[in-house]
Order: sequence, then C-alpha cells, then structure tokens
Amino acid sequence: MRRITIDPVTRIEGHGRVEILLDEHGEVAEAYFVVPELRGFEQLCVGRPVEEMPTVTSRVCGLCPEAHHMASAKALDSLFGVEPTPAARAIRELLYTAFVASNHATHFFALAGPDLLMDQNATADQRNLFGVLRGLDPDLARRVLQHRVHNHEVIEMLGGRRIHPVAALPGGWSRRVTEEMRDRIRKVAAHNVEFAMECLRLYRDDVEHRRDHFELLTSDGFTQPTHSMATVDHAGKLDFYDGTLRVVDPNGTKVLEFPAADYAQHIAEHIEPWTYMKLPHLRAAGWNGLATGAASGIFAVGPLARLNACDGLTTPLAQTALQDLYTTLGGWRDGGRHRPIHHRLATHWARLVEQLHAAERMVELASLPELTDPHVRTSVPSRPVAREAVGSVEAPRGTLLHHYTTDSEGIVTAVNLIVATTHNHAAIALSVTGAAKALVHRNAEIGDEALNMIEMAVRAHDPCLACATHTLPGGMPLTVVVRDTAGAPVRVVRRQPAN
Amino acid sequence: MMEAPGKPRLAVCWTSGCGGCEAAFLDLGDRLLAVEDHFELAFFPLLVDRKRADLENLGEGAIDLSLITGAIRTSEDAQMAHLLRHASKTVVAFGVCAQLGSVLALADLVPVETLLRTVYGEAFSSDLQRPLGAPVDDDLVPCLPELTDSVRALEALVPVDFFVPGCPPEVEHLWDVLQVFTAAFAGHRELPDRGSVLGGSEATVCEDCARQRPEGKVARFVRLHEADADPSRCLLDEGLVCSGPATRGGCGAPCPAAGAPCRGCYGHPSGIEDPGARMLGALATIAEVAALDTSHPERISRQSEGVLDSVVDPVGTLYRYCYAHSLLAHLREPERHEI
Repeated sequence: MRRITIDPVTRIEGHGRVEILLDEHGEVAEAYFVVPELRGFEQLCVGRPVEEMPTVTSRVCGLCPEAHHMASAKALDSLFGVEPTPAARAIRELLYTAFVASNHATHFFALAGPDLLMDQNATADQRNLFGVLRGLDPDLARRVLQHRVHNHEVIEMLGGRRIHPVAALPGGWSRRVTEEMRDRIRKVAAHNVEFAMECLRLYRDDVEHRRDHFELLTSDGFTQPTHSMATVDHAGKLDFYDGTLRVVDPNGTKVLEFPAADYAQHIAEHIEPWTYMKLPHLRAAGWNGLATGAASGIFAVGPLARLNACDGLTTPLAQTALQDLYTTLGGWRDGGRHRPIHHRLATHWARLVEQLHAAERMVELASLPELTDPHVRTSVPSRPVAREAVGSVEAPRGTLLHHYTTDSEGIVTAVNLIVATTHNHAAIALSVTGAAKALVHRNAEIGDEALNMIEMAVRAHDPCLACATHTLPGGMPLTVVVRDTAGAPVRVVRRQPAN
Repeated sequence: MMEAPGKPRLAVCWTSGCGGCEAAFLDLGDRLLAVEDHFELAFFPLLVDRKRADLENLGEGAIDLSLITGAIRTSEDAQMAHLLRHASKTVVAFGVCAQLGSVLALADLVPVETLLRTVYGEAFSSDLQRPLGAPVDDDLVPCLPELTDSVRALEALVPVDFFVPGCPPEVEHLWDVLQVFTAAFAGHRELPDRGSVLGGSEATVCEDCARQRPEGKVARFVRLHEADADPSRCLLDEGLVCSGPATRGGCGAPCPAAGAPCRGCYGHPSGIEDPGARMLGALATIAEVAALDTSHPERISRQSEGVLDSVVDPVGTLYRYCYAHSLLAHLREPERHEI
C-alpha cells in the first residue's frame, strides 16, 4: 500500500501531519489528520489557585493567549460571583477586538496568504509570507507587518504584555486606561477599519479574477455541509466576547441555543477505541461517525460557522461585507436569514468579514466614556462563592470553553478546556478526506501542488494545534470507503500506524 | 526563496510549546524582512513550506543556527531535538520551555498515568466508551508518540550552545539575539561563550521594576484577587508573592508594571541554582522581619512559619516555569529514564 505523508503540515499553528493511504488501485483508502502531542493542562492546573488560571491557561497557546486569558477571566467572574466593573468590561472587550483584528490578518497574510495571493505556480520555497509581501505594493507590505505590531502594542498597553497578557482578575482588570492610551488606541482602531477593507478588496479581486481559485472554492471536494456553532447576543448577532451559544443545522435552522455553562448537556466528546482524539459532537444527535449533513452530530466552529449561525453583525461595514459574501456564494435571502455556506475555503473570506467587524467594534469601544474610569476592580470575596464555573469566548478559530471546579479554598480540583480546534476536529477531518479524495487519483503523480491543496483544506480552518494539544494527542482516522465504478462499496482498507 | 549562496541557514522549530516564541517573530514588524535577508529559512513550520524530509536530507551541521522552542514531552519531541542537533552547528534553547521546561512540568507533580486518567477518564464531557488502557485491535493502534515519563528541558537531551529566557522572550531580545548571530556569521564579531544566556540581564527583575524598593515586612501573604495593589509600592510589600527577587531581569518588568506579580518566566540569574528555593528563602526573610516586629520574640519562629503558611501553592507558584530543572524535581524523581 502506498502512503503519502505531509509532515509537518506547514503554515498552521502547532504540530500536525496528514497521512493518506492509497489502495492497490492508487485510490485514497484512508486519510488521517494526525496530531502527535500532549501537554497535559488538565493535570498541571490542578492544585493551583484558581485566580492564577488566566496566566497559566494562556500558555496553552502563544498565538491566541488573549482568548484563553479572557475565557478564564469570565470563569473567575462566575466562580467569585462578581461582574466586572464597566471600565474593566470595556477594557477586556477592547483588548479582545484588537486581538481578533490582528489574529485574523496574521492568518490571512502569513499562513493562508501564499495559497490565496500568490501565483498558483509558486514553488514550495517561494510560498511563504515573504513571497506574499514581495508581490504586494511596498506600502501595503509595510502596513501588513505594522498591523500586528500596532495591535500588539495596544494589547500590551491594556494587558501588560504583547504575548501572554497578565491583567485579568475576577471582577476586573489590574490596569487602568488613561486618556493618552485612549487616543493612541483610537488611531490604531481607525487604521484597522481601513486595513480590513483593503484586505477584503484584495480577497475579492482574487476570487473574481482567479477562475482556478473560485472553482476550487466552490468544488465538491472542498464543500462539507455540517452544523455551525457561534456565540450570539440577545438579538442573535455575533458576539466575540459574550452571549449564548447557538447551533444551526446545515440549512440554517436553529437547533440549539444555550448558555455556555450548559455545554456538557449539549456537547459530548466521543472517544473511539482506535484513537485518543476526543470528538466533540451534538449530544442529542449522538455519534454517527464522520458524516456530513443534518443527521450527523458534527458541527463546525470558526469564522464561516459563526457567520452561518448568527443573524448578522452589529457594525455596518461588516454587515455589508457579510451580505456580499452570501450574495456571491448563493446564501443571501432578502428579508430573510442568510442560508449557511459550506464551501470550507470561504472561511478565509468570512475571516476577513470578521476582521472588519472587530475593527469597527474596536472603534466603538475606544470611544466609550467608561473606558478611562479608574474603577477597574470590584470587591471580590476572598474565596469563590461557587465551586464550579464555565467561561467562554469566541476565539479567532471558534468557540472556546474553560470549565473549572475548585475546593472551598479556591484551589483547582479539575479543569476541562474545549478549544476551538477540538470543536472543529471532525470538520477538519471531513475537509481533509474530501480534498484527498478529490485530488488524489489512481496512477496520477501526486505533485507538490496537489499536496499543498490538501494542506489548504486544513489551513482553511486555521487549526491551532498548540491549543488542541493542550491535552489531546491523537490520530484522526478518516474512514474512506473504496467504491467500484457503480458506487458500490468494495472494501475499507485497514489503517496502519503512521510511524 | 531565492537564496544567495552562502547565506547562513536558520531553523526555528517547536517541540512541546505554545507557539508564542514563533509569534514573537511576527512582532518584529519590518525587521522580519531583515531576518529573511540575512538567513535562509531552512525549517520554520509556522512560516515556510519546508518539510521534515527536507530537514532529514540536510547533512550534519548543515544548519548554522537552530532556535528550538518548546519542552520535551513526547518521544517525537525527543526525535526532533536529536535531528536538529545533528543538523545544526549551533543550537539555542529559545524561550523558557526549552530552557527550563516551563509550566508544562507542573504536570510532573503527579505520575504520567494520573495525567492520562485525568485527561481521558475524568474530563467532564467525555463520553467514555472503554476503560483507559483497554486493549485495542493491533492493526488499529494509534500512531502516537509516547509520552516521556517527565517533562525535560532541552539541555537534558542534547548539548545546548545558548539559552534565551522568557515566555516568550521579549521581542527586543529576539532581535538582539538574531543580531549577535548575524554579526558573528558575517565575521564582524566572535560568538559569546558557549553556554551563555543571551537576551536577559545579569540582575534580577527587581532592578527593572519601577515600583518602590521593598520594605520587606508582611504579616500575611495574600492572593491575587485579594490585593488591590498600590501602583507604586513593591508587590511583596502588598503581600503578593512576586518572584522578581529570584528572576533574571532584562524583561523590563512588564508584569509588575501592569499590577501583576512576576512568576519567573525569565528563569534564574547566574549564581542562583534553584530559583524556587531562593524565593522561599526571600519570603522566609520577609516573614521573619514581620515576626520580629512583634513584642514577643520567643514566638518569632512560630509566627514566621505562620506567615509562610499563608503562601498557597508554593511549588506551583515559585517553580511555575522552572520545575523540570529544579533540585526539587531531581529529589522527587532521582532516576529518570533515557529518552
């Protein structure tokens, strides 16, 4: 049996590899997305004082520490029975918008950019951020690099450090915002809006003018209908920082809406005897294997899933961009709710729509009068009033849940973290197998270009394997049934160990 | 990349880590372009499409400089560390995971079996279908690397030439370190002594800290959420456990400036072998000074112990980033297996 290995999948965060097994006819027998790491945060958090969790759990991921810091802060609010002061609430969300705007742009240029913005004939050695920047107008290239720097200066100003912030406290924040800081942040926010518009234009031009890209985007191999999950506000609009979790089916019908604290009632993590990888799915639907469609309990999270699940965006430019996306790809309905789109490569487009939304929201937050109020802390009991709490946010890559239990002294007794990439594992697996089946054909030479397209199926989800391996090692077996020309199942080739 | 011949080759590779050290490269801004001007990026999974096979095809010492980020937690991490060591002339343990094992090593306060049971057996939402360790079909064994019996710093596995502290290293230190090697490779200067720590100072975080010098008198240590720290007083004086006195400086003390105590991510300055023990000593001194302040000298010893007892989770706090490298860990696990 032939084996194709992509090791490591590059331009993603963390360790991952793809293993594709071919049968004697050269057809894809099975494909695996393998994540060979375990770091054990569920264990190492036990015994720590719970108020230390925002800085301990941020070490799950250096690309999205802000998301862990914030989910943790919200869990602490619940444990100690306190609400952040208005100033602290504004500071937290403001930091979060700078983070989302920066993180999405980083993915667009540094990780996905070489696939989207460069010539398809670019070689592996040319296909990187530096190649992307060389192809851009020099002024824009400079602004691409400055964008992250400026937003992380804001993050440092508000959270204490550029990477791994330190300011979260139950009921508040350890740092105040001055009017000088506000002035600086408003300038960055205004630039962020312009920059996000420019990113969207770049992407739109690409989709419109590159037929090959548009065809790949809408091809069957890159289209996998699943449920979609997102956090929405009281009006059903997307909210990165706070709200209720909503799940819609592949057609857009709402099937669930629940507070994050109830996640365990609605989401189960399946464990299979053949893998250590947990597979989150909708508890009510049960585990039906790696299957697409409404009957399957598999759901996706992240930018495209969020736009699919929400009723819209609260900011005007981003809402217009959302309408453009769904009009172009066929889900827009005048006067009605947009229908979900399941072309996974459209996640890149959705990410840019969200980047614009975060930038516009950042402008709003930077103008709030309470932002500079010195009361960033509230009075907190010395020990938690509850023994168990859940905190959640929409991380750039999807819904993030932190669940803690403590003893009466507030010492952690158990921690469960369900990160975006774990929620998305089944969806990623579906994408990898879909792409592999579409691109790997019998007797054909598998070149770098086809292999990179399979990696593109992974990158669309922007998986963060640093996050996913806070605890989970595992091989994701993707069962692909080999069929004869009439479509009848012939056999399933057994999996082999990847090492 | 169009590589000019003779450009030194750079690898930046993670083992078990969070990617924050790699993200620090993105904070270089325009200077990131200079990195590519000066180095051929021979392996850098976050940013460039070079695969493991490309790395394996390079001969011994073909890479001039490898920055390895991350601790050693799995057999695959160990393989990568050996592979990069073989392929590299110079290996840098970049960031506190590679330097000292980092926060990951706190999982070693319990055995690996307990770790696995916690992750798979007791996680709240797991829909467990089989007891952990139940036999699985041989053909379907998961293709997973083994967990090492404990978390190791890079140096425990392969010889390390230089160390760069931080979680992650401050971006200016990353830049300084790159310039040290750029200049050395261009023949403009000698490399520092092997074994040096680059990118930090020889003083402690307290030297960088803008807060007032400590008075060193605390009746009871308090927890993060219990203290509303004055913006100018020493955090230790506020009763917060702050590892500044036992931690290498150079970071600029951003955490205390933001009202958060130092947790020691820059590791220990030269001359301090076990920063956790040093911090305990510092706390004990503070506690004794507080106890001395009473009018009952005969009770000093008991009272200072009482003050020290108010430090919750001393191991997880004082050894937050350095447990794997500490005397304490060696005392607890005198014999570690070869990996």
